[in-house]
Amino acid sequence: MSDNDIRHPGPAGNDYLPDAVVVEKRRGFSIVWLIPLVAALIGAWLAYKTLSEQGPIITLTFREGTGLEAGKTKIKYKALDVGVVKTVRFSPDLSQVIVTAEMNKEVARHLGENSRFWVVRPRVGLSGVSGLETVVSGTYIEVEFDDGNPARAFTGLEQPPAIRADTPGHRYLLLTDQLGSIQRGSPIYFRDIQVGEVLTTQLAEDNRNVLVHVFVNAPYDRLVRDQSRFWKTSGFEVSLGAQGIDVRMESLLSVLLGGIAFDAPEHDEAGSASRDGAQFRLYDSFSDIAESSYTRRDSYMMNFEGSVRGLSVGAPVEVRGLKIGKVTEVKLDIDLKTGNIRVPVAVELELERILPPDLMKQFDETYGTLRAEGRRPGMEHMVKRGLRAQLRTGSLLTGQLFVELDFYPDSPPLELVYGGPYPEIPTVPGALEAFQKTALDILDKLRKLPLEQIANELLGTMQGANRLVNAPEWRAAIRSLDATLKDVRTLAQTADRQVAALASDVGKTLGTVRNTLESVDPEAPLMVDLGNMLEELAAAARSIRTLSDHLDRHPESLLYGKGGPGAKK
Amino acid sequence: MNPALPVTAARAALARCHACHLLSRMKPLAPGSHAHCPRCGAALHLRKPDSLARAWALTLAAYILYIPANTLPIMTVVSMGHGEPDTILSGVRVLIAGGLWPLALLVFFASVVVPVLKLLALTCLLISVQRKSRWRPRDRTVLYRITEVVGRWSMIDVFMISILVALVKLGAIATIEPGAGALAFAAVVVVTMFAAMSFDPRLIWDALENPDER
Ligand SMILES: [Zn+2]
Ligand SMILES: [Zn+2]
Repeated sequence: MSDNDIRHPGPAGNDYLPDAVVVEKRRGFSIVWLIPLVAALIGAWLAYKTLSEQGPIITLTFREGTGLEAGKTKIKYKALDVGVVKTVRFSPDLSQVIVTAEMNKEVARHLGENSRFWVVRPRVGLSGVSGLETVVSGTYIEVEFDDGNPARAFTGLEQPPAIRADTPGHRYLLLTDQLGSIQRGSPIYFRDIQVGEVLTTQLAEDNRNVLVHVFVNAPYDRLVRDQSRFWKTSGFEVSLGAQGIDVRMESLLSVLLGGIAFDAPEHDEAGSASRDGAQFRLYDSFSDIAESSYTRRDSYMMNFEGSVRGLSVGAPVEVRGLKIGKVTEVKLDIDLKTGNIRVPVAVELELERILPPDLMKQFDETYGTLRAEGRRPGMEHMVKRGLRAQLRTGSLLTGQLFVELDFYPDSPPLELVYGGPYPEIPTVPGALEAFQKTALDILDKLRKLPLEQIANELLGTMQGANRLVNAPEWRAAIRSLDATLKDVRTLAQTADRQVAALASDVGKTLGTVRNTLESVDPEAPLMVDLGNMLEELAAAARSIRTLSDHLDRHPESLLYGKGGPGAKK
Repeated sequence: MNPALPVTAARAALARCHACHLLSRMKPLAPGSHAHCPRCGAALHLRKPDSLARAWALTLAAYILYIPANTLPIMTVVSMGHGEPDTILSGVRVLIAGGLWPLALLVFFASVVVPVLKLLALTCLLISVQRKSRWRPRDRTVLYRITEVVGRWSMIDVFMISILVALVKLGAIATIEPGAGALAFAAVVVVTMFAAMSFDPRLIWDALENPDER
């Protein structure tokens, strides 16, 4: 019903009422319909805004979901929110936690396949405390973007990466046999300045090497050259040298975490820095580097009589105290037919330690063809001249043995024996057996010493001394001396008054003194005993001096005796 | 004039001025012409003008706005540096999770049930009037009265948010920020109030006056 459709005229009797004023006015489209239109526009705009702000949904896989909450946990990049966790659920086999998260639209194109996600929790490590802010703000997920191939599913890291991808520097790969104390976070030193750290450690696929991924910060990364050598520093080194004990300690951090040092070879100063990911060998110590630079090795066998207890793989082979090689194998060899037990010891001689480079060249020219046939002409010659191997004790405390090569011209003539896996160098009985024999000799000698007689003589000497001290003549003499002194004093007191009587008094006094001295007769038994005693003491002192001189020169004679092998050198 | 029918102002061709309450006689109006009060000049209507069209438009607008009002966050409570935007329903869920059942019920009724019922009631009234239904006019009038009275109580949420936003300004410790949803929600409440206002309940009874048309 509308205003202009009055079908019933007004009843009579209301004529006193005024008539409504009618105005002609064109009416168009009712404005009220603009309201739903505006509402629809607002709704459409809100919907568009919401949809356009919707970022990509990504899936993260973590091993555990500590502190992850759906709708709450944020994803942060450089401390700003770039996303939020939407759901947290288990993988179908319950082994992992699958997190779906919505990322902000602005970071969508940075979600490359190598983007890294990790959960930030408070962590206390040897190298510091991190993630402390999460105690207040709650756990969050940190992301590090990678502009690679776009991806939407990622595997979360269990540990935050040690080095951010945008940190300038280079990564290198080190190979080593044993990890030792090296671990994640171990520092890398160059001349004792920390220039990087260990990122991860892992076993190589062949299970023989350990791979150590390290990162060297710029600008130190240009110091890593292809010729650079990396070695482990324990942080604490004690070396015993001729100058005494040298204790070298690096930073406490490297004592706890271990460390790696490297050098930049001098002759390569102009060389270019190694590329990212270059591989290097990680040596166990700096001295190990020199050792492993010896490449030419000859292997030999030796068969020792008796026990090889204390001989371990790696024990040195020495010539007159200089190392020329090492023991590579010690094993038991039983001849089943004869029942003989032998202990063949395989050694490796490092030729570079024996021959300087120019001699080495000459040596190769002379013997090259023979060596190519498997012969060892140099060693053959030396064995003919009496070269023999012998086991020696390196340390009396630990009983460690080493192999000593030396010439024994008097030993029966033998030759280098070919036939086994390696040529065999003949041996002479070990120093250990010789040592045991010497020890027995010393005991024997000790047993034969006239200990009783020495004790008796000593006793006699002591008695004589005692007699001397308590002799009555000695007392008489002291008494006389006393009287004399009194007289002297009297004399001195009366000297100024009785100058005239002085001479006779002096004569009297001298006479008394003479008497006193005469009462000590040189032939008296007291004096004879005293003389004997002094002579014996002098003899004892002499022989003690001789002994100590000898020990000074040949301390080993304590163990080997005077005629032992030590004395021969 | 059918004496069996009740006498209404419209049937007597009388209109009262809304502004000065002067009663004046209405003549049949030509299309496009308007009646004005002879005394004060205000527009005169027998029925609210364009009642159905306006009510329909506003109801439709309310329906449209009801979607963002429920899907967009109405406020964000930031406490101790982190907070989450809450929609009406998630707010109710939070209240339930917190064990605040009475408050949750209140918010649920005021913010979800009442606006929906109001919109449905309006729709129902509009459709029935449009179809000139003669079905239970008295009940429908009661429904209209309830709709009109209850409508303003939906604003309880908007009041709550505005009070909270004003009160809780503790800087870094806790702040409450209104969301776009609150605006949409307020718009829904206002628009439905206007829709109820622009609906003329006399139209319910008008259908009864000319039974021949049905
Ligand atoms: Zn008026
Ligand atoms: Zn009435």
